[in-house]
Amino acid sequence: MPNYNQTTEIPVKIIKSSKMQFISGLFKKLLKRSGNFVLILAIISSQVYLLSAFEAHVINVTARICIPLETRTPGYWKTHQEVTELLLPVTLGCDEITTFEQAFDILDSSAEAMRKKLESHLLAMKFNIKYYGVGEYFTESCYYEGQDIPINTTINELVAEADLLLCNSGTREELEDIKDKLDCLNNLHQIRECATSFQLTRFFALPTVTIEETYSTSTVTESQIEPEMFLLEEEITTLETTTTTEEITTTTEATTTEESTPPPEEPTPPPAEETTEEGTNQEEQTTEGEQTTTEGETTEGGTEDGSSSESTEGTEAGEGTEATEGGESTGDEGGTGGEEGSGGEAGTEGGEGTGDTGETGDSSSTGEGGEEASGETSPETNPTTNTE
Amino acid sequence: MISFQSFIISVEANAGVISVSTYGVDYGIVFPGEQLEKEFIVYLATTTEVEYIITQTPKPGSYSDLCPFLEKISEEGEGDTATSSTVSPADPSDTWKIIFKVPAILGFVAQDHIFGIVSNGGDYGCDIGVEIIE
Repeated sequence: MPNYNQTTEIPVKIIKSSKMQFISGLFKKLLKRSGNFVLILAIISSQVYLLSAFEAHVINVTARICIPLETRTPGYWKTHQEVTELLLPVTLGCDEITTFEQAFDILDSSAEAMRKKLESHLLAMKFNIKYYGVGEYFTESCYYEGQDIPINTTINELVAEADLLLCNSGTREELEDIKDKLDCLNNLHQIRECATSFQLTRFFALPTVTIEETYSTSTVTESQIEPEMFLLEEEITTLETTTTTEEITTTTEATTTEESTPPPEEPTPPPAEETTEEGTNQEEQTTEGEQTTTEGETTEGGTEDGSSSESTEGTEAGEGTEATEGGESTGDEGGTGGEEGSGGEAGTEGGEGTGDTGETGDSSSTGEGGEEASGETSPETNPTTNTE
Repeated sequence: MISFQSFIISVEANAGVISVSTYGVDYGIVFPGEQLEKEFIVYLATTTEVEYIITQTPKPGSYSDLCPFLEKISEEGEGDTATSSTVSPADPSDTWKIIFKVPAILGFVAQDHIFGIVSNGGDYGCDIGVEIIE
C-alpha cells in the first residue's frame, strides 16, 4: 500500500497586531465587497424613518377641572337662623357681631345708606366663607344678569378690603363698588372659578396685576363698559326719585343695582288666588313672587318652623318664581348641595334643591321645605327682597 | 444612484397621506359630572387606502393626566376603532368624537357621581395622536 501521507512544512509568519486593526481590516473588506449596497440601504432606512415620523398628527386636548362652590344671599342667612347662629361671632368692619339678632338687623337692613348695604352683603359673604369655604377662591370677574363685574382678587382679599373701608369710612363710590362685587357674588349661588391666586400664578406664571391688565384691555371693550356705567348712573338717579309703585318695575333689572331700591316696609299681600293663577307672564309672576315672599319673609322671620298658613303661601310664591328663573340655580344647588354641605346643614341644602326643582317631589319636606323654597327662591329671583 | 435618490424624494413629497381637522381641543372650565363632546376629522390626502391608529399620551408639563377620562368614538359606524381605522378613496374622511366625562375631585364627590375621581382640580391635558400604520 502506498503511503499517501506526506508531511509538508508551511512557513507561517505571525504578526502581532491589535484587535482594532483586525476589525478595521475586516470592515474595509466588507465595505469593498458590499460597496454601494450598504450606502443605498442606509439612505432607504433614513428616508423610511422620516416618512413615519411625518405621519404622526398630535391633537392637544386640555381642560380645567373645577369645583363649583356655593354662596347665599343676605336674604338666605337672615331666614336660616339655625345655620347662621352656628357661624357667629364674626367681625364686620371694626365691630363684632355676636348674636343672631344683630346679624338679622344688618342682613335685614332696608337703609339706603351705602354703608349699610355694604355691611349687609359683607356679612352675608362672611357667612358664605365660613360655611362654604369660598374665601381662597380667586375670582376674575362676576357675571350676573348680563353684567360682567371685574374683581381679580380672592374673596378673602375682597372681604378684607371691605372691612377696611368700613373701618376707615370710604367714599360712597368706594363703598358702592365693593358692595356691587359682593352683591354679585352673593347672588351668584355658584362660584364657577376653580383656581386660587396661587394656582393661577403657578399655572400661568402671571402675577395678579397682569391678569387684571389683560382683562381690562382684552376682554372688556369700551362698548361693554359704557352701557353698564350708564345703567348704574341711570338707576342711581332714578332711585332717588322713585316711589313705591316704581319699585315693582325695577325688580326685573340687574341685581347689583336693584339692592339700592328701597323695599316696601309694609307688606302688601296679594290675594292668594292671584299667586296661584298667574302661571304665564314671567314679569308679573316675578313681581307677584316678590310681594308674596316679602310677606313670607316678614312672617318667616318670626316663625322659622313654617307651620303656619302664611308659610304655605310663601311656598306657592316660591314655586311660581322657580318657573321663571329660580329653577336653574336651585337645580344646581340640588345637585351640589348634598356633596358640599356637611352634617345636618348639608341635609338642609339638599332638601332645598330637591324641593325647589320638584325632582323628587319632596312634598315630604312639607312646611319646612316649603318655607326654605320660598326663602331661597325669592332672593334669587327678586334680589330686592334680599336687603329687606 | 441619482435616479434612485429622485425616487426617494418623490416618496417624501407624498408623505402627508392624511390630515386632521384640528390640532387643539380645549374644553375650558369644566365641572364634575359634566359630559362634554368635541369632534375632529381625519381626512385622506392621497389616492391609496391608509390605515391609522389613534393613540393618547399624557401631556407633558404642568398638566395632570386627562387621558383616562377621554373616550374616542367613530361617528360613522364604519367599524373604525382607535386601534384600527382606515380612510380610502371610497371613504375619504372619518369623524371622531372625543367624549370627556369630567371626574369629581376627591372630597367633593356627589352621591350620584358616576364618572372617575381625581385628587386635585386644575389644568389637565392629553395628547391624542393620529398615526399611520406603515
